[in-house]
Amino acid sequence: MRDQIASEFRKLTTTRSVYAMLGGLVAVVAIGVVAIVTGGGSTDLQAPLEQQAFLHASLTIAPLFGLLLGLRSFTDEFRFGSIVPTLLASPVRSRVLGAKLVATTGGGVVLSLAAMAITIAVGVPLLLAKGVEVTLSTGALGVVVGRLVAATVLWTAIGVGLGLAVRHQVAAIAGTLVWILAAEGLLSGLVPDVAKFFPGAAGFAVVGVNPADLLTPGLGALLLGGYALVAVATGAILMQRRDIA
Amino acid sequence: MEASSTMDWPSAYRAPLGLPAISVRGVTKRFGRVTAVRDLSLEVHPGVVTGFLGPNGAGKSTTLRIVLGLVSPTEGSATVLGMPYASLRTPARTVGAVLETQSFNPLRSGRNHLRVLASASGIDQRRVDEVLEMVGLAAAARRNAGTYSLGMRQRLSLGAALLGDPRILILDEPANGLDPQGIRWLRDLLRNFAAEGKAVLVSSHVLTEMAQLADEAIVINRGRLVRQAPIAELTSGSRRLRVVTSEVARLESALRERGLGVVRTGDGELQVSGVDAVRVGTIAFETGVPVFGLAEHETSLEDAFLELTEEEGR
Repeated sequence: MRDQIASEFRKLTTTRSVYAMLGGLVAVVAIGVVAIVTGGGSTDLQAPLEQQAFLHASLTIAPLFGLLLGLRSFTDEFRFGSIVPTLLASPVRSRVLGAKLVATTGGGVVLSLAAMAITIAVGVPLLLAKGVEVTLSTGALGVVVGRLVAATVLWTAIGVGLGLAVRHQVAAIAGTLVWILAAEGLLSGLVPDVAKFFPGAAGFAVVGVNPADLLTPGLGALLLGGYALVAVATGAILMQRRDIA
Repeated sequence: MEASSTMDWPSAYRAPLGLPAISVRGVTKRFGRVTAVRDLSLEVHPGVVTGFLGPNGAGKSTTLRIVLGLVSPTEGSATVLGMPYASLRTPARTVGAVLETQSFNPLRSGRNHLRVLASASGIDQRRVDEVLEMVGLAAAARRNAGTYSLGMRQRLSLGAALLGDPRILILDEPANGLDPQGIRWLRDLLRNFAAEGKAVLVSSHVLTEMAQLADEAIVINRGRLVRQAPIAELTSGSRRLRVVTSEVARLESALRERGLGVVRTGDGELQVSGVDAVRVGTIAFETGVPVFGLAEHETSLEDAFLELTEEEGR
């Protein structure tokens, strides 16, 4: 499986659109940070760094990009037909799935770290420019970064599984975004008691955004991991049987 | 069997002993209500180029995909060197396959496409540049594959198939998009490949091109095997000879006397069937008739194929 993983990493690093995604993520997060810090409002600029509201820019956006990266992992191959040479080189399909999970979640780690780096690189100078004395606890900041990485990795895995199950790129991406950005919110209004168990809510629980109505980060991670497991298992089972025509 | 009467085929063709390179046994494949392949059995042996012939929709691609483990048969089994494809330890070094022209990310360069595949099969990255040179893509290697012409895409796919220096080549309609030069190049490549004792299975619905590429033919229609035979055998059944002479009547009766089928096809022209030029020339000489032209007219593969598949359709 080492060869397959090397091949999947090579795919990631030789696709220009992956770099475009990384660039897009950095740009969106940077704009978000500027908006939050300069927007003033109720944000407490005196808070220690790890509690600054502008961190939410990466905490909410990076997992979404991880999800997109995951969704593209298989749907790109089905869209371009490259699934055929991929499976000819590695006919044991579970190995291809395993290698894609390793490489793509690796990509998710890179995305989340890049997002956090740009958040701090933009946010801290802005605070200093406003004359705020920046304080931080390295340990607490480490926990925030760890949660972001965990959430992004799990969302990436969910994307890989869903993409494999659905195969059609537009359907997979549109369906997932509709669920996360609209359907989950609407359903939460109808059944508020179970809303915190939805995947989006579990994701927010992991990164600790809007914690009041959510599970604890640990439970959120367990639940999100459960969703990832279901998505990947569904994809794996469907892939075992499917004809590649 | 009279060795002298057969045409000059590579001797390897007569030795299909041992393990077949590809073996399909009793394969049936249904997609919903459509039966694409019905109880199909065939063998492909090393040392020859085997043509896989049939009209569009005959089940060629489905059969090839079953051999390559991409499609699972409803019944029966297919093996490569005696093993299911998915069980091969080094698939890329065993089989190289080209199934369709578009099988790469258009935003990745041709070279990176091959590098990705080389990694997956544990093949040295230096082999990539060798193969690019071999298929004539070295100059365009760093361009995005999406910018390639149809012929270049075909060459890239072929490059992917050759990466592992495989023992068996499987090509689905490889001549699509190749110019006449490209076809000649492909023919030489396949011939050399077979001459090294490797096996080649190449499908096509364009039969004239198959006559140039293949030694043996497997003909299928509507998912069923119609015939497996040397290409020459497909065409030689109805060999005809055109004779031009100034004494049509005398030659005609001389040929008739010897029990040969003769037809007048024009002014000073006869058509004789079921006999070779040596025989007709000798008869003309014995009769003292001048002959100005003597040409073999072989049934085209196209005709033979149409006959075969029409019989099947009836």
